[in-house]
Amino acid sequence: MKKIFYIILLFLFVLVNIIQAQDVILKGIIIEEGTSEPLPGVNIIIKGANIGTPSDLEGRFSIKTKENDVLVFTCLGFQTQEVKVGKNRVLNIQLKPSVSELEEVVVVGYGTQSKISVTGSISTIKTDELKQSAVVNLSNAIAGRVSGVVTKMISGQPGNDDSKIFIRGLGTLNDNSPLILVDGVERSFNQIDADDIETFSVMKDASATAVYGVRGANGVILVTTKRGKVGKPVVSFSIQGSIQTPIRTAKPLDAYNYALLKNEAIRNDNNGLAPGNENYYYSSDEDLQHYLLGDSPFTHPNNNLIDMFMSKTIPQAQTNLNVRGGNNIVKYFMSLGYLYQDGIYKQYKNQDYSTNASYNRINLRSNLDFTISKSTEVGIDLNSSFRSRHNIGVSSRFSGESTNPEYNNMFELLMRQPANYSPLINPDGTYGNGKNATIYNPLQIVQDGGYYHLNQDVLQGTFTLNQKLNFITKGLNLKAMIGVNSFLATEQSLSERPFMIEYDKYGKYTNNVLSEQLAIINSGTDNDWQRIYSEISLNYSRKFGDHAFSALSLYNQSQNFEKSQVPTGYLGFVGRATYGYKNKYLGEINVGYNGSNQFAKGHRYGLFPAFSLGWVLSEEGFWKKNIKSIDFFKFKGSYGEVGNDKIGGYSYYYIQTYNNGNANFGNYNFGITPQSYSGLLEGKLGNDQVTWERARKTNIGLEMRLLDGKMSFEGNYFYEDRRDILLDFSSVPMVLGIGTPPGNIGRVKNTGGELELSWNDKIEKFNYFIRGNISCAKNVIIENGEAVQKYSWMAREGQSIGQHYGLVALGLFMSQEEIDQSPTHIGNVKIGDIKYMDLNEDGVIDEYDERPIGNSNIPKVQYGATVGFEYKGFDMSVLWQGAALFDVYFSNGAVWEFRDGGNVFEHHSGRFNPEDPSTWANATYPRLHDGNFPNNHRKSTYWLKNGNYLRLKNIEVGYALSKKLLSKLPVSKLRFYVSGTNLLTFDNQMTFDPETENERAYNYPQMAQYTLGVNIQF
Amino acid sequence: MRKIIYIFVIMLFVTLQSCQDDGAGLLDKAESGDITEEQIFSEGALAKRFLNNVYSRLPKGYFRFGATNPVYLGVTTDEGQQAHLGLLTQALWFNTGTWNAANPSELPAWKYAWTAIRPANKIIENIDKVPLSEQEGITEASKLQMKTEARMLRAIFYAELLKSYGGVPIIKRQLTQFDEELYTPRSTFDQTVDFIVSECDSCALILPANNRVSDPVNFGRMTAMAAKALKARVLLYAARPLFNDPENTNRIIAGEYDPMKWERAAIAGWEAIKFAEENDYSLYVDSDPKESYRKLFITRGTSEEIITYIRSSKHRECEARQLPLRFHNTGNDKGGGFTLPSLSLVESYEMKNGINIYQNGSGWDPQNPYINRDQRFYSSIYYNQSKYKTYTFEIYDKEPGSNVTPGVDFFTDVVNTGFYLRKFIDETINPNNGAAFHNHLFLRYAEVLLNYAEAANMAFGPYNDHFGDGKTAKWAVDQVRARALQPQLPVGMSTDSMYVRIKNESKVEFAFEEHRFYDCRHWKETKPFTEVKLQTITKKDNGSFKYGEAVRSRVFRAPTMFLLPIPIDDISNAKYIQNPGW
Repeated sequence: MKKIFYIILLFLFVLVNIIQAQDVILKGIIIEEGTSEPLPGVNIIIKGANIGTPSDLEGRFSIKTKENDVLVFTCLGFQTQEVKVGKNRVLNIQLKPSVSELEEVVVVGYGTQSKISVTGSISTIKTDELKQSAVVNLSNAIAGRVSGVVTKMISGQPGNDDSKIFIRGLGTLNDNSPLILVDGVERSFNQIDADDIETFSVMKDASATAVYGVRGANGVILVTTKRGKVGKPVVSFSIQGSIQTPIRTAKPLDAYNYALLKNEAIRNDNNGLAPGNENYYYSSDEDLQHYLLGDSPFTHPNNNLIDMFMSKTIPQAQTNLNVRGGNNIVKYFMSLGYLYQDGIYKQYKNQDYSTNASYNRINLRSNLDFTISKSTEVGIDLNSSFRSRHNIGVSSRFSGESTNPEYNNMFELLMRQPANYSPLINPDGTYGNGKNATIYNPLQIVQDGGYYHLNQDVLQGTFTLNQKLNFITKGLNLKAMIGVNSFLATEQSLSERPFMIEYDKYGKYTNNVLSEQLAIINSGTDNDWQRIYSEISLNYSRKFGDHAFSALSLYNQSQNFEKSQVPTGYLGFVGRATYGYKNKYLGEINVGYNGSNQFAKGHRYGLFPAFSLGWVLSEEGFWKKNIKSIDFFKFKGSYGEVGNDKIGGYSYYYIQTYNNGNANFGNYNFGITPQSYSGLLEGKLGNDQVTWERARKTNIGLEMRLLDGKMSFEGNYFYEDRRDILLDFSSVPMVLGIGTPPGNIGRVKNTGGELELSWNDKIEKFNYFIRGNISCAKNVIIENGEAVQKYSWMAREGQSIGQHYGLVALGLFMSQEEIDQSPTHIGNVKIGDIKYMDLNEDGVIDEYDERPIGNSNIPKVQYGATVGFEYKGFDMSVLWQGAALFDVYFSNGAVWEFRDGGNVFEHHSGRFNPEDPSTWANATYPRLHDGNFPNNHRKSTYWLKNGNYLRLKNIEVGYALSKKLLSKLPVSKLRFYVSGTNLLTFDNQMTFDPETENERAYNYPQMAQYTLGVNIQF
Repeated sequence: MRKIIYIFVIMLFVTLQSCQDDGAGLLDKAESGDITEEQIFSEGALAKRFLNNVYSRLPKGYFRFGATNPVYLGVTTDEGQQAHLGLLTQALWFNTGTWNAANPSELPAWKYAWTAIRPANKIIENIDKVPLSEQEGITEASKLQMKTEARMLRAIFYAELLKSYGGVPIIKRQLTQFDEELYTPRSTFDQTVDFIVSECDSCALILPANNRVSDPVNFGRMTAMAAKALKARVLLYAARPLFNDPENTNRIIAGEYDPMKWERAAIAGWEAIKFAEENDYSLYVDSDPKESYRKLFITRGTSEEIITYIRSSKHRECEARQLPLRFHNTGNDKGGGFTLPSLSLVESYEMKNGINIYQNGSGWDPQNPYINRDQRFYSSIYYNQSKYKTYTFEIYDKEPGSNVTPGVDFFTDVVNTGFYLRKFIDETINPNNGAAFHNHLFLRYAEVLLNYAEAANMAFGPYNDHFGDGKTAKWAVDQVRARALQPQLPVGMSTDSMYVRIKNESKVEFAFEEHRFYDCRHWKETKPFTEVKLQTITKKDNGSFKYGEAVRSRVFRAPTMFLLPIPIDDISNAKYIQNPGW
């Protein structure tokens, strides 16, 4: 009876409530599931009413509701939860962190999309992965971590170590570098503090890049920086210290072996005879004895320059302090980063200045979002970066090389100056020097050679206005943005050269070598430029039942002002419409319409459309019924056109201009007493037809998630047909008498694919993951405007971009008979010299016998794999990275013996010695020559090396203190870690890193790095 | 649904609004101060500057091959030898026979000439547009003068093409890259000659006779003398065996065979000589006659210069590149002397008595070979024990088995010819930091005389006074010999033996002046390209020298290599007929 009474009472109560439908105030706390962490900034919305409120710093909220309302709780990084209000007056909500990638949002051009609805090809890197390598330059952190990206780190110089990045390999004979946008504005990401980065995405296919129109064909990298979140301020502090060490350095021979080989080379060139006269370069037995014993260091020096001047342990330190938080009015993220990277040279005393290479960087970032009204948000971002790079002075020049200090010819000097060249300090205390007037003394360079100093100041500001236009219709949004970039680089250099004097092996001073140059200070602006970018857009996004619909319309323009250049300008219109039915059938249209001032009127605008479709099979009824193990399965495909206008900046190819003459051409002299008259030269002809390149791109992809999300897989196949590549008309007869302007004549096809595979699982508390990716891309030049070649193998068409060409070496000549029977080689060829194949069988080895050899210099395949686990606060991850199918060509002083008065290296020990038949069969290097020998020293298969490599790119081991331990400390998170970068390399190179590109290999070496660091969060 | 339509209308409106602007302003190139096509012939000053450009493309002489350590064109003939074989110059390709249509990058005669012909054409076509201006000195007369200079320069570049390739396409206006005329086929050899000759004839009527005298500040500009001398040169080329060959029916590379071509050349030569005599041109003679020949090359504005490339400044390249390292600190660490004269050249210098060293009665002593030779030998060659300033050249190896030290100017790692090149060197300057005039004498009066001698000998015989004024072939050679202080040629020679003497005179007189490379081809002589003789010198214990000779052989394929190949790209692009064999 009692029960019945209660029931009636309840019914009554409900009834009354329904009748009244009274507003009730609902209050509650939101916490993260399984913890007691309150969640601030969760959006609580009444479904269908567009009324909402965020949770406060303690995770509390209160909202006016009706009983039959449904509340929707959304928060980035957590699964959305819907709760019926019912009778509740207090609701304690636990939000599950979103483990499913289905909830993930990815950044797309001019917006974001839920990952599930993406039909283009986009890859992302997790930001904690970017931080892992402890790199200074972010472009060096992406190798192996993302599919579809080829990277090449050419140099390790502090502050000057940008990797080359190519998305999906090479598609054009012109500039292949991708467009890079940071927070929506074209900016470099290399020097951003890794702690500031929120997302890093790579746009690969036409669907993803068409909105960038004329600038998207090489792919686009979008980086966004962290922004404020509602919540109490979270202060993060990280500090790390590293030791760097060169991966490889050259291995020159010591003085004794140098002298032995030099003697041999001189005899080789002299028909086996020792020179009769007293040859400075020829060492007598007595000389050799001195070199061996080292008993006369002034007359017979044995300088191990690499050890003397290059340090093996180079310190580096990096720290970042940032604070992130916000309330209903303002959200903020502010970050301060500092970096110091030391240089490789050992320090020698100098009272006035440092000559060592170094790099300092201060990054300051402040991203603020103001909520002006319920429908209006304003963002103000300021970012500045102050970088200073220091290096040795400009006088570190090696014979015949460029004087550009950034070439860092010090390495060449250390590598190529023979060990017995001269004492660094003469007995009388002066700096020593040898016979060759153009070679400098490395000791003088590091002690008194001056310095080169470059300051780069970057200031960037972005102002954003976000206005919801719900009063017109729900889901309509207006966004306006102005971004300003300013870059200023000033340089200062001091060059000086104290007196150097030759002290030779006979103990004789000769003072005619290099005279003293007094200190000269130079300073000036190295570069400065400004870019002003603005955009205004309307965004519309709404769901009608099962139909999801979005549209974007955007106008943007940008102007570049660069030192002593004519300003350039772009403008563009962007349109996008997407449609999704039940997250099952997806369609998208992207259009870019661009104008550029690089072209003549009438050729300035181009339209770049792209279409894509997606089909999520796993949403189909039959799939859900039958295929349980595959949770998600999507087919996607896209086709579209994208442009590339990187055709050499500031080149107005449609205009012909005239240039002032110079001493060689143009200017002339008349008169018996000559008087100089200036001349005018006709510049390249104009071509008013010039326009941008156009890429037709097709992408077909498959996404899968299996076994409750433990495993995921994505595969993409792409095909690109790049047309209208701007190239010089090499097929115009020279009778024209002048350089022709480029025309849109080239065509390249590029095909390839990518696979990404990952596995996440846990065994009790042991969480582990495996991720791998592999990308390949192969291009073929279809048309490059070249003349018809005399022999088919000389044609560049049909080959890859960057394909090596050269002679085919058949080994070394083993007998005079063999030489006599062979085609004519260049120069005085003897046994031990390289024998080549006479392709056209005309009896002469010449250009007609050069054909494609090996692969191109850009890897066709790049891959990476990461394995990691987390257990009771310990975590570890290991990244392997590699590249395959490319060849590296080193030449000149890097490889060839005694080149331009240069050195010999370990690899010369395996030479063919005509005087010693025992070396003949297994010689790994041709007969030595004292100087340049045209037959051997030319590009051929003999010097080409397979570039394939596999690298242990990174290992990181960390330990995070448990909550229990932390509760006694005023910190909320504390993690220690050690990491190592570039720890092992397996490859086929002898002396140089496989990523080094310069044929002379005088780059600053690539570094291995060992890091110890700590992250603290308050 | 209606709302959606509204939204689209708004979006469309925004887009169109911004489209209407056409981006003018933003997308127009900013003013940059560049000189454009329209401006160039609207201002006299600019047009004048543009003409300077054509002059600056005259052949510069001297260092043809190599960038940092260059050598002369002469090292590809028996005049000399490139000392350092390790220096990869184009000369090595020539001497090993490995040059071809794909690699003549450092002897860019083809491309180079077209690059000069284009601006000349541009002036000829457009100079009439230049507005008259008293201030800028633009009058109808000065415009005609500029136009004629451009025509004359154009004729020079066509003559350069002719001597290397034979007949070439004749382009008389400036072309665009889409012009059909770019694909004009090669003219015949005779047409090319006729074009040059008729241009020279018309220019001679307009240009001043001798601006050295009449207008010294414009010395170096084209003259009527230049027109007459070039005409005579081209007609001589046309009469020579390579281009006037009864066996050769390829009209592009050879003219219609006509023995009268010698006479035509002789008449043009005689006219040039007459014109020179009337207008103050003569062989240069110094106050010290022994120095005449040597000083000719280091003195400016002599009466002998007809077409000269005037260098922008003084320099010491000749001194630094020709002298061994001990005298300067320039260049390769193994010593200078990149271009070394050969024994093949040295043996061509007669004795002072006018007799060839190998002939009976010359009085030449093979073990004391350098005494009593033609004065031009001493002016052109440094030999063992000769002097540069106060230094003595020590160009010898040690005699095998002796205890002598080899000479300081003898190097184990170069091709020692036994000589260094003295011609062109100004010994008054310091080769370390001094500078001297080194203008290239592209066409000088001595050549006019020898060209005439060659034609007249073939047309009329050595001693036939065809014009009745005593200007026989022998007379012309004797003029050149007299300046060199050599005795007159003997009487009683046949035309053939006279021809040999004229060729030898030419070899000696024009050594390293870029004539022999072409002349021997035109004469169809192969030996100068297949071998070069070197002097070997060793010193004995008793201090005496032993002189011998060595021969280096070179690769030359006749008749293919008598002409240069047209670059392979143009053959395939313009479908020109390639010279045979290439």
